[in-house]
Amino acid sequence: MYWSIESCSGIDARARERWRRLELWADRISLLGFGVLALIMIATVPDYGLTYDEPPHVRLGERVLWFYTNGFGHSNTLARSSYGAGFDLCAALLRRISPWDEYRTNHVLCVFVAQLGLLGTWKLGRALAGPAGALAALLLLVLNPVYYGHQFNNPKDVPFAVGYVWGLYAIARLLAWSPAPGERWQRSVPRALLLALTLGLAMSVRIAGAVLIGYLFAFTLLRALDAVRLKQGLERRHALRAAAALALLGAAGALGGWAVMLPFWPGALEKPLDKPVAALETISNFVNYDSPTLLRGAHISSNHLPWDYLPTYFAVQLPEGVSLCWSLSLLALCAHTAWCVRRRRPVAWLGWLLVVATLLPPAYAIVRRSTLYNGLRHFLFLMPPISALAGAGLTSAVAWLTLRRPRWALVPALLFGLFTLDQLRALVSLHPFQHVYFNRASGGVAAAVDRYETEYYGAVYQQLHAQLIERIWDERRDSYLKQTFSVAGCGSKLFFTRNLPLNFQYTTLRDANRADFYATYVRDDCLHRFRNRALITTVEREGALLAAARDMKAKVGRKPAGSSR
Amino acid sequence: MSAAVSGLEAAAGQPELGEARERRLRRWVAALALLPTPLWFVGAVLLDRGPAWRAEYHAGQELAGPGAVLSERRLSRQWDRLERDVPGGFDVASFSARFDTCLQLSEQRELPFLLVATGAASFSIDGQEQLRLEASAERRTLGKSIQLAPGTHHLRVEFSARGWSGIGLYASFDGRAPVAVPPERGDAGARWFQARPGAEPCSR
Repeated sequence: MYWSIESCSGIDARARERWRRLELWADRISLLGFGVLALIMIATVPDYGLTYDEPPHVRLGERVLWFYTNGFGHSNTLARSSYGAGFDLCAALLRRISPWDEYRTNHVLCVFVAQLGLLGTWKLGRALAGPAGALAALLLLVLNPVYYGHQFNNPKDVPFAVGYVWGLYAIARLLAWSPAPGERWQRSVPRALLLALTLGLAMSVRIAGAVLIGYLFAFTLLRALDAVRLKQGLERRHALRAAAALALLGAAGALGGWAVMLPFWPGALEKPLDKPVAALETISNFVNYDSPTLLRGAHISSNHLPWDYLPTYFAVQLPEGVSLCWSLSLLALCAHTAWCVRRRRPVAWLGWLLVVATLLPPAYAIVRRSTLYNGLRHFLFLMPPISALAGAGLTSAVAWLTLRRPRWALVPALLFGLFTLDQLRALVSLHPFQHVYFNRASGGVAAAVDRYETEYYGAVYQQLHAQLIERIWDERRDSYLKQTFSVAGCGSKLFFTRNLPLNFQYTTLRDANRADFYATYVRDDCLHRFRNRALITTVEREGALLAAARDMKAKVGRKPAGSSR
Repeated sequence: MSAAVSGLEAAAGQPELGEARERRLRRWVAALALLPTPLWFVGAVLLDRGPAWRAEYHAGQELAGPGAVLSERRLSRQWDRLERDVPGGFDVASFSARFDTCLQLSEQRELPFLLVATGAASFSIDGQEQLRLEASAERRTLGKSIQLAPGTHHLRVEFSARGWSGIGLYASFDGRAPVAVPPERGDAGARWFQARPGAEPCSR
């Protein structure tokens, strides 16, 4: 980490050369990593199923496209929408030329956007802690199974996370910039454009991206105050002038970002200020939706959650290595800041920017008692900055040891190697449902499946239904060729109509007793229903039952207590 | 970012080399991270043979009068409260449709076909009716294995809707459960292409 390297005094040239060589290798591994990752992501796209968030986003994208291609005709649904359609409009345009159906096309765009996010995280890690920090940030994000799984079929939280990390990177670039006296203003235009584009795209997915504007001005002010503390006379005036230029650039970037956001959000075109503010209020206090959510085995209303809902989910779903490195980074940053204050050196504001960027949003949600459900899904946007900061923490430890105690540097490197192997194992064994990951300290997904939100997204239905169809085809060929089967289950009707052929007809849960099959995922205790019916097929990962299909016409044994509600 | 890196490069006495290397690296990383997916997508678009079905929608249940003609990828559609748009803007509770495609086989095959409909539907191969579902408001399924000689065959499905309706034609080419025609999983011995209007819809 650069702030710790900076504070290492008395380091000889050989040690620096050693570190430089290590950074060269980090760059080579990053290059290889991006290439391999792109191939794996492309090859595995078909494995990821439809999620319940996708149909409304497909409809929103089509409505916005219709708005632009039909004379700006407004519909009430469009006017009411609290979300911009940054991702959805692009997906709607892509569907016009895509050889695949709307959901596969969505997933391809999801993958591309996710790759943009991985690049943004790598760049942010590099800004923070150089080539080794960039590689560590990339690996820590990719090895985070919850984030990895969502990259393929989450049309809202991951695109927002990508906008957020690029917004932070644009702010980081601005904070690292200090115009030389007399420097032409045109030279700062690319920075302002990057800022406008990233802020705009983040806000075009979720208006909460506006918080980036707050970070920008707060840290510009802090940097100016730091300059006042450290410099005097002419130098201080130059520094203050640079801070004023930065603020102006930031204001231009913020206005540009607003302009980039508006076309993606027809509802906000009429009321460019009121609508986003109202949307922010709606989504931070989303009381219209009240769904029971699981926490430590208890079903709790999503509108009345204990304060520790989010911290608990982060504690049990973040890989331990990430949490450890993030904590290490925070400690190193505190130590470095104290050192800077004592030695009258500039504070590493970029590090603090990421600390604020990862702590402020959940703190706000806790204080506002925001409606939450699906575990930490809505806070996936914290994963890239958490990874960048954690990567900096790890790099800090390795750099400090490499420069002072080279032999000891092998210890964190070896531990990280073991962590990488263990996380790779988790990614493979959970595939393609990596989003259900729970860390080892919490007991893993098998221990979490009845106590926390695991497969809440419906992606498992693709595999469950494929297995059900094959079983019926293999075992009841004659019936298959003349009978329409009825299937009941939990969740969206689309899970059934999109994943099953028409000879399997969806029937509501109310009529499940009359259905031929009951096929369901784990959410809302649905797996506990109809346990007295014969099991046809299941989907399990790491010892956790995520979904099951039962034959409603075949009873087995005695009816277990509490089943068939 | 570059300042930080060049700081270390400068320590090694190679400042200019460091800047150039950094720029080159950034370009390569961006290319490796962002180019494969768009290239794959463009490749898929270019290699795509296009929709295999020629679909013709008509108002009413008689397959007559002015119609809307379009291409469709797979024959598996249902209309309900969420999906109420019928091509041509016809009434979702009363319309009819004809779907045509051509299948070219390199060798003789026995293939299980499955016709599913809510409404009335028939399935024919080379003008010979194979499966028929009489009008019904309930979803019905009918299937059988059909011997097909090598060569080109014209597959036709005719359908008329009653209320919330649906129509699907499924076939099994690999022994696994039938999937919507044409199957997404490739089959070396079978080629699909869109039928043309007229007396010889599958002539090339």
